Amino acid sequence: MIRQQSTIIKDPSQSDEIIIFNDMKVEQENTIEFIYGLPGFEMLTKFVIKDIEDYPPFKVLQSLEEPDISMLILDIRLLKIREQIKISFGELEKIEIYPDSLGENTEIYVILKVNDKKQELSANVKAPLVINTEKKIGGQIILDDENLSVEYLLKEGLRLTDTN
Amino acid sequence: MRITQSIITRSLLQNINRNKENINKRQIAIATGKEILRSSSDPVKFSRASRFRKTISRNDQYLKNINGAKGWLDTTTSLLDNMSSGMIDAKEIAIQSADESNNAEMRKMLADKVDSIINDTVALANNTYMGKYLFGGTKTLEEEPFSYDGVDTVTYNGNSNNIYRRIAENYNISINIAGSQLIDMDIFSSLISLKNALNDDDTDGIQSSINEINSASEKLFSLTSATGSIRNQLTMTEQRLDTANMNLRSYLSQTEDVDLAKAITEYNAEEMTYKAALQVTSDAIHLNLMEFIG
Repeated sequence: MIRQQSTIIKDPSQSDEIIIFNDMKVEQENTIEFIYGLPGFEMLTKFVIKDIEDYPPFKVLQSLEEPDISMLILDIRLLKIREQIKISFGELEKIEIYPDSLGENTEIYVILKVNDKKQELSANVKAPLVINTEKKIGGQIILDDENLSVEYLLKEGLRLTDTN
Repeated sequence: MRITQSIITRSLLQNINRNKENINKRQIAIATGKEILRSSSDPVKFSRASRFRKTISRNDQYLKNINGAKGWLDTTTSLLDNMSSGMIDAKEIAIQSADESNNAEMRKMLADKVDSIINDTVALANNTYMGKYLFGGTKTLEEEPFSYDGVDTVTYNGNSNNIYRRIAENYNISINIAGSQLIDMDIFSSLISLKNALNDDDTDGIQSSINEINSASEKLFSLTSATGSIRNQLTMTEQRLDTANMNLRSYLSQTEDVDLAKAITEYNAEEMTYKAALQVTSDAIHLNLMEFIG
């Protein structure tokens, strides 16, 4: 599925290390397939998640098919609002997550952007990325909950103060 | 459990300590971060960015269309609901008056009540949204779609065309209920039969109008579920467009004149990183994903 035969890009986590994406031996095991694409990037299905060195806990979701397409993401467990997020079994089944395997193979991220007005980071908590780490498949699940914002300001939402 | 916890914590602390050792390299790291996170000078990203900006503004237009369509449909649905209540009232009158013990004079009085239900229903069907007739087909401006002669005829002046709104790329959706459907469903004619039967003191006629009203009511109800399903389509498309725009804006955060690297560094205090790491670690052990399940 990789269109460019010799795509070479810099790995964002290792700015001096070069990764050749179509070297499947290296990359395939970390590839996450978004079977239904991501809204706005419907044509792209293969992504990798990378750490940003010196900027934990931020990560990058990067397309393997169009390597310059990437989005900043954050583990939802860092956000207070995660307690309000409910995902239906039906949605989870689409990425082969079932009640009995729940939790062991599941990672949930939110996509971040810079809020236009405030120039601060905001998270789209209404449409989290759910990843089945065992099967290496994922989906962006749009939640039907009016109380969840597409521009949840990170500053207000981090779970930091109540740590002992 | 405790061992696992401490092992994980230790390895995280090692990472964090390494970060601390690297504090002198912070300036370099930020510069590198910028390089990664802001590459507006990259011509591929630049041309893609302008294409995505166009997509976003087109999606915004679709979202506006959806918003207008929702208003139109919600008004339509509430008018259909009101028409349904009118039909229920008429049916009550019919059942009540079908009893032989009602004399002609009482039935005339009830006929007047039915007449006002007909007038109300016509008025509902002549309603507008943002100055446009909802039930006139594509004749939304010229004249009221329905007229009632006050005797035995409701005339439809509109057409049976659909009104479409474009709500996504290659996706047009019909948002109107043409008034011709109300005529075809015998909404008005069933009410008029009841009124006539009451005026004529015709018990059999009253009986048969009960059935007519019942069947018209059922059809009217099916229209309400049709508008409900269009409403769902609109909401689903709206959510998808919203998500698409947020995803595209996330990408653009890296390419536009906003300083993503700067925004991130505000969250990159040593303490925050440390606490955040601990938070994830304790969750990694205790996380019960059941709380995600609705």
